[in-house]
This record gives sequence, structure tokens and C-alpha cells, in this order.
Amino acid sequence: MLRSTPARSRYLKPHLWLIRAIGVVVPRRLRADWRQEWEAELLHREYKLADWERLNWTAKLDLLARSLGAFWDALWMQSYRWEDEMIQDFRFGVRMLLKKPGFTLIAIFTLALGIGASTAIFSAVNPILFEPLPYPNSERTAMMWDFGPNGTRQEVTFGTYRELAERNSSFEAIAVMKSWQPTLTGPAEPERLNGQRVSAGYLRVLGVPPALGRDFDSSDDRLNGPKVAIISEGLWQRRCGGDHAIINSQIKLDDNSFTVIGVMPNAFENVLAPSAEIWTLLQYDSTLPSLQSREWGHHLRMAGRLKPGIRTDQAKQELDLIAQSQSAEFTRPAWASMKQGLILNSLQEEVTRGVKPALLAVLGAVFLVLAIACVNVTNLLLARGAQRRGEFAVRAALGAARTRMVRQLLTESVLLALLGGAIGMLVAEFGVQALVALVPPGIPRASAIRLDGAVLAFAVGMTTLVGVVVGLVPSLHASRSDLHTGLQQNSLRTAGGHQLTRRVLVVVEVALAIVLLVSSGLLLRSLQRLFAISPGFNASHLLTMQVQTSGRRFDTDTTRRFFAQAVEAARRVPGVAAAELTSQLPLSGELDEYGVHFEGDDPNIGYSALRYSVSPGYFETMGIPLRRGRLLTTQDLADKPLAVVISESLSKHKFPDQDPLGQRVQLGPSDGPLHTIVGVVGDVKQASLAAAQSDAFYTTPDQWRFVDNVLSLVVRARGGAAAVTPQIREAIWSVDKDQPIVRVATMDELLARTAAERRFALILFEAFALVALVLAATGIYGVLSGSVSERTREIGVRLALGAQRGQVFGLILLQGVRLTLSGVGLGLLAAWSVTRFLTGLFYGVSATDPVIFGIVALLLTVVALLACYLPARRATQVDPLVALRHE
Amino acid sequence: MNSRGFLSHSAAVILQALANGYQYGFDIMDITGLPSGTVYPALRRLEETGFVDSKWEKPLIAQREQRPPRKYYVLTPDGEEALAEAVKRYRLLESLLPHPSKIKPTRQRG
Repeated sequence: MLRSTPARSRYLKPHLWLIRAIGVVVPRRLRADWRQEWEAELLHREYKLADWERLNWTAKLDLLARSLGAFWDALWMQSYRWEDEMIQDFRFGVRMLLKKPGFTLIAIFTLALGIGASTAIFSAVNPILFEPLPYPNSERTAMMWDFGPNGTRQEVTFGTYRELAERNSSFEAIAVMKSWQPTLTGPAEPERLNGQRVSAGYLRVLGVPPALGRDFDSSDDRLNGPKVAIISEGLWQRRCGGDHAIINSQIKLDDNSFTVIGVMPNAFENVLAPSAEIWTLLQYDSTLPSLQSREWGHHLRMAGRLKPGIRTDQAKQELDLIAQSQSAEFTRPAWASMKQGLILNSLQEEVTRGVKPALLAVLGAVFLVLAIACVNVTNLLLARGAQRRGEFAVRAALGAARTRMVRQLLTESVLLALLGGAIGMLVAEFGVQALVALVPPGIPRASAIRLDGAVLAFAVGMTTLVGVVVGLVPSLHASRSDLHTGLQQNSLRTAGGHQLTRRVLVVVEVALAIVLLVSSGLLLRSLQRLFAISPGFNASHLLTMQVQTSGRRFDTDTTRRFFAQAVEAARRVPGVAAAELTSQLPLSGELDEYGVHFEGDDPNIGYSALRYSVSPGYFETMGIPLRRGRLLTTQDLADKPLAVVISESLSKHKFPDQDPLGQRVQLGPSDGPLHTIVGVVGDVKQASLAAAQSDAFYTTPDQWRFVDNVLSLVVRARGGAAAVTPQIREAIWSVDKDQPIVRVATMDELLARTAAERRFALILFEAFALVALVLAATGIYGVLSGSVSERTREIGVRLALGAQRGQVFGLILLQGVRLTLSGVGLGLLAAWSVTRFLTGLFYGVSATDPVIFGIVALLLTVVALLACYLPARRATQVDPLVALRHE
Repeated sequence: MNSRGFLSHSAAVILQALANGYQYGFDIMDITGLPSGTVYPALRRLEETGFVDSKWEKPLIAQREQRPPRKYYVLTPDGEEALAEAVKRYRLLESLLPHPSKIKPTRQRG
């Protein structure tokens, strides 16, 4: 095509001049064509009209107006410019990355690790801490607690619930609940279910009605009311094959007929009892017949749904007001007086309460890892930038704008991050699987841990951010570099400015690694301390399981007989050294406490102690030591004088200077008989190894006023504890084949479980710390190695002037040591200020434990020295002749 | 056919103008009354969409007028289809512009 210039431009023609000017902004590739089109059009119009001189003003103005319109045309073409250059940047970026595959792979995998790990952790933390609970208007759900002795929180009594339900005006619905484990019998084999006994408003509090059938009716929630049950979708599918005829049909639970009135939706997530599959009504006596009845026991959890527009603090105020103003209509015993008011928390807070510190700590740790990964890749890119200085100088000399070069480098780093992010998603997928397997049982909403939209959005956002963050410093650096020196920069001279940045980054990296290492060191020490605590018994070779009787055919006598026969059968199993029963098993999660009242004490003063009903040989089997007096014996029968054995801590609390033996004590409700203390035994950890509560009392089942229909069997095996499990099960079933046996575990497993949360945090911290250590070491290695390359000439000169190889080695090593020590110092300071936020996870170790700080500092220094060794050695091998010829 | 969405009114008018034989940007401006800042970007967009094709006129004509060759635009088959669709939507479109038979073909193409 022709690109002729207008021939008749003797006169000043503003429209042509405009086209020239506007053409400047048209992308270069399209500019010539664009100008030609407009000029040809304008000139043709002119030609048609007349000679320029003879044109009237209207025609001239029209031409001008038309050429002004070219501006919009030119603007519209800007989109081509971006598209063009972006594709160019992208293609060039890919070429540059392919040119250095080693560098590219390391950068991608480092980023993949960082992005993948943080995505996996985010996927676990998000549903638990940040997403609202899976209920409509879940912010309106709350839980309430009574104050126990010493200001601790305590479950409420039915009496308190009844009064609050009547008198409050803040809640739309309010409900109490307790756990329930009925045995489902029927055509299929018996199955013990996890369920809840709830007051009628329970599902209204959560805001989720049954998907099939109806909700509980409050008129049924009365003593001896109709036996009705709502079941989960899972149970419905499993036991009834999803048959709709289940509604209003009968099922047998503990030998009683229950009418199924509803099936919960599949998506229903019950955060208050995640494993519950069946719900029935509490059916307590709302007339509150006696203060000794179960209606006044502190054993119910209470939840409520606030009315719309009522805030938690407003509800709290109202509850306090009710607590302070006792009404004549509602009596309150001393232990449920609500004198201190009530505790009110949002359900979300309640659910996450126990795990929040651990999860936030893990989230913090993973972001540290990501930060270290970013620093590492930034360093790599800086090093790359140094090698490419010549290239950038040439581009600048050829007229590339600084912004264009920054964009080029950012494109490359975003490209790296995108590839890293893509592989990171794979890492995250595996990470999530590992997390789900690793999650301790206490973590709520573990079922919600998965890679979903929110997680994906997080990963994409994170990847882009990482790409920009990682590329910003290097690209600014590269584009700022001086053109003149850059062009000479085919040699390997020192490059002061960016070396400084790289050193600073390495110091930061080492410091971050120190923070992670110190945290995991402290966690490790905590766990060691925790496992060094004696549980108060000999845990090895102990097998435990829960045995229960269910159904109407069991009364007091048959229950006692069944347990006696079952334990006898277990003892006969080969390989069993001893087998005994207890009403609650240490470290199993059970917490059965009773009020204890010593003879002659003020009736208002009482102790709360763990209650164990144990068969006589229990202490010997468990290895619980006798401190004073005697143990329980087979002679402590129902018709004999009532005997009780107390724990050492209870003895110390109550009788610091007295002999406890022979003292008399009332156990449980105040109308009970007095037991005589016959012995004192060592303390046993019940709730967890870290728990302080050790006040306890032991009686024989015969002398305990109630009959337990759930007992735990403890078996001491001669060999491996787990190996005898099937035979013991068979032995018990030989007594009665319909009785469920659950929670089979060795004592070692229970022991490990009590520290599960700390262990979870520890495993993750250890993994992150290891990654941090490796990244920090490679960071140091990279900087020193780059520095040696750039100082080759200097080193050559030094050697030529007679420097010893050892001196050169020392020179480089010293450089590395300086970096490391600065990082270590900075890191120790940072760790010192950060670890205090993790105190909740530590046990028996100070957040600033000098030993751990010292060990970590030493460890990192040693690793760093190893990383320095290779570059330093390379420096000593520089040949002065080759080095000097380098220029 | 038109998976690229409905044409704007001005784009439809421009297509109609092309169909009626007005092939140069300035002629389209004259016949449609649209300003150059509308006609040109619209032509670029239509070209990008594939409704319109552009060619340079033969240099001989240009030499006679002592100017560079002009660029002219023609409807592609896709563009004709799009126009047919647009005519269904904007019923007055066809009657809006003078029909090519009523005017003398102004210029011959190279």
C-alpha cells in the first residue's frame, strides 16, 4: 500500500495537522495505516469540494470537526496497545522463564509450597473461625451458662431454664439439652446411637426444622409425655433405606417404643453435638417437685435464639436483671441461685472457644511460611535481575519506558506465581486430606474442611498478591539501574544496591524462620512436659471399653448381675492378668462430679469431687497407689458399713493436719447416708493430663446409692493390650449378646488423645519450621553464592596480591555469619514478642524459655554455616588469572 | 446466528449504509448523520467482530486526486446476516437511508 504524504499541503490545514498530532497516541503498529485512512478521507473530501483557498468557512469547520472525531477513534484503538504489549510481555516472560529452568522450577515450587500450605490451612480455619454457623441468622444464636464455684462456668439446672424461659423477653426460643445414648434394636443388629435429649424448642433455636414430618411439640415435653423421636437423614437412610413411611412408625430404643415424628435434612449440621443422630424430648417434671430431684442438677446445656434486633449485650442485661430479682413464683436452691448472674456467649464463640488459639496460631505460622517463600523468590528474582542488567540497559537505550520494564518483570513474577498457585492447589488438595486425617476430635465442624469456592477465591487472590509482591522490588530495582553501568555490565562486578536489598531480605528470612522454630520448639517442649506428667496410674498394657445395659429387662439386680458376670468372663480370657469396672474412666472425656459434704461442716460449704464407683480390685489393676488406710474390698457390700476411699488431693484440701481415716462424709445429695473414709489413694488425672482437678472419691458399686447402667471395663493384659480385644468382646457377649460395647481403646491411645490439640499444632508447626529452615538456608546460600560470583574479580585481585586461600574462605564465611547473626538476633527479638500470644498452647514452659531460644539460635546458626560453606569453598578455588581476564 | 449479541442502533445504521453502497467512512457520516467519533470506532468494532471487511482502494484513483489511497469497507456474509437480524429488530432501518438504486454510484472501486 502507498504511504504518500499529502502533496497539496502548501497551506496550513488544521485538520491534517490534527490527524498528525492525534496519530501519536495510536499504537505504533497501527499508526501509519490509521493516519493514511484519515488523511486520504479528508483530502478526498477537500478535492471534491474545491481548492482549499476557495472553501467557505462552513466546509473548513466541517473538515475540522470530522478530524476532531479522529481523537475518539484513536482512543478506541488504545485497547490494542495493551493487548499487544501484554501478549508480548507474556511471551517474552515465558521465554525468559524457560531459559533458566532451574531457577524457574525452584521459584515455582517454593511458591507452590507457600501458597498450597496457606490454602490448605485456610480451608481448615475458614469454616471454623470465619464462616457463620450453618443456621439461618446464626448470629442470633447464643449459649448460656451458670456460674460455678470460683467463677467457673457450669451447666444449668432445669429449674433455672424453666424460670428463664418464662421470664425472659429477649429470646425467640430457648432450649436445654443433654446427651443420650440409646440402643436401637429391631430387625437389624442392635446399635448404640449418639443422640440428644432436648427441650421442645431445640430445633427452633437452631432454626432448622425437620425436612420430613414435624418438629417437637412443647405440649409433649412433660413428665411421662408421649415418646417421640426425630432422626437424622443418615440414620434414616442407613436403617430405613430412606423410606417415607418412617414418619409415625415405631422404633425400639432401650426396649421402649418411640414414634418417629421427623427426619432432619441432609445438610443439617448439629454443632452442639456433631455425632448426634437421634433426638427426643427431655420430659423433665416442670412442677419441680423436690430440690433433690434431677430437675435441680447442673447437667444441662442451654442455648437460645435472640429475637430479631436484640443484641447479645441487651439479652445479657435482661438475664442479669432476672437473676437479681427473684420472683416468688420461682424458688431457687442455694446452688442455682444465679447470684452471680449468667454467662451469655454467641454460639459461634462457644463452638470455636477451645480451638481458636490453636487455629489462629497455625494460620499465623502458615503465613510466616508464605512470607519466607515470598522473600526467597524475591531474592531469586533479584539475583536474576542482576544477571539481566545488561538486557534491561539495552532495552532502556532502545527507548523502553521504565513502566514498560516494570510491567515486563511483574508479568514474569505473576506468571511464576500463577504456575506456583496451580501446583499449590495440588499441594493444598493433599494438605486438606492430611489435615482431615490429623484433625483432633475436639475440632468443631471438621466435616466442613474442604476446598470450596471461598478457598479457591483465597488461593487466587493470594497467588496474584504473591506475584505482585514478589516481583515489585526486583522490577523496581532492575528498571532503576543506571543505563551506563548497565551496558558495561557484562562483567561480574559488584552491584552494591541490590546486594544490600538481598542481604536485608535474607536477614528477614532468617528472622522469620527463627520465630517459627522458636514457636515449634516451645510446643515440642510443652508436649514433652505434658507427657512427663504421671496420669496417676500405670497406663501400659491397659485395654478399656465401655459396657452398658439397656432396656426394661434390666433392673437394679439384673444390671449388677450382668456386670459381675461380664467382668468374670473377661478375667477368664487367656492373656488377661486382671479386669475391673469403673463408673468413669480416666482421660476418656467423662467428667462425673458430685458434691461432697463432710460431717460437722457448715451446710453451705461443700467440695466438688469426681465420683468413681469401682469394683474392689480396680486400684491394683490400674496401679493407683494406696497412701493411707486400706483399699476397697469385696467385703464392702450393700449391707456393710458404708466405706469410701478419697484421693490424696481431697485429703490434703480438707484435712491438711488431720488424719482423714475414720472421718465421715456425705456423697451427692444432702439427704444421703454418711460414708466412713477408710483409705487415701494417689491422685489420678481425669479430664486431661493438664487438668488440675484431682479431688475424687471411690466407693464400691454396691454401696453407691444409684445403679450405673454404663460402666467401663479396664483390662490389664499380659501382652499387647489391643490384641485381646476380640476375645474380651466375645466373652462379654457370651453373657448377653444384646449389650453394646463401645469406645474400645487402649489407655495409651486415650493418653495420646488428651494432647491431640497440642500435637496437631505441634505437627503443623514442626512441618512449617522445617520448611522455613530449609528456605532460610537456601536463601543464605543463594545470596552468598551470588556474591561470590559477583566478587570473582575482587577475589582474584586479592589472591593475585598474595591473600591466602584461608583468608578468602574466612572473608566469605564472615559475610554469611554476619547475615545469619543479624537475622538470628532480629528473629529472637521478634519471637520474644510473638510467642506470648501462644501461651494458651504451652504447658509447663515459659513463652520466653531461654533454653529453647538458645537451642534454636544455635541450630539455625549451624545450618546457616553449612549453607555458607559451599560458596566460601568456591571462592577459594577462584583462579586469579581467569578471574582477572574476566573483564 | 448472532451469538455476539444485538447490534447497537448506530452499528445497525452503519451496516445498513454499507449495504446501501456507502463504503467510505466519510460517506457513511454524510448519509447517516453520525459524527466521525462514532462512525470510526463502530467500524473498527464491526471489523473486529467480523461483520465488516476493509480494503485499500487502487492507487491509480488516489494518484489522480494527489492523495493517499482511501480505505473502504464492505459487508461480510456474517455482517449481512447480522444486518438481516437487526432489520427485524429496528423495523424502520431499511427505510431510513436512501436505497442504492435511487442514487448514482458515486465512486468506483479499484
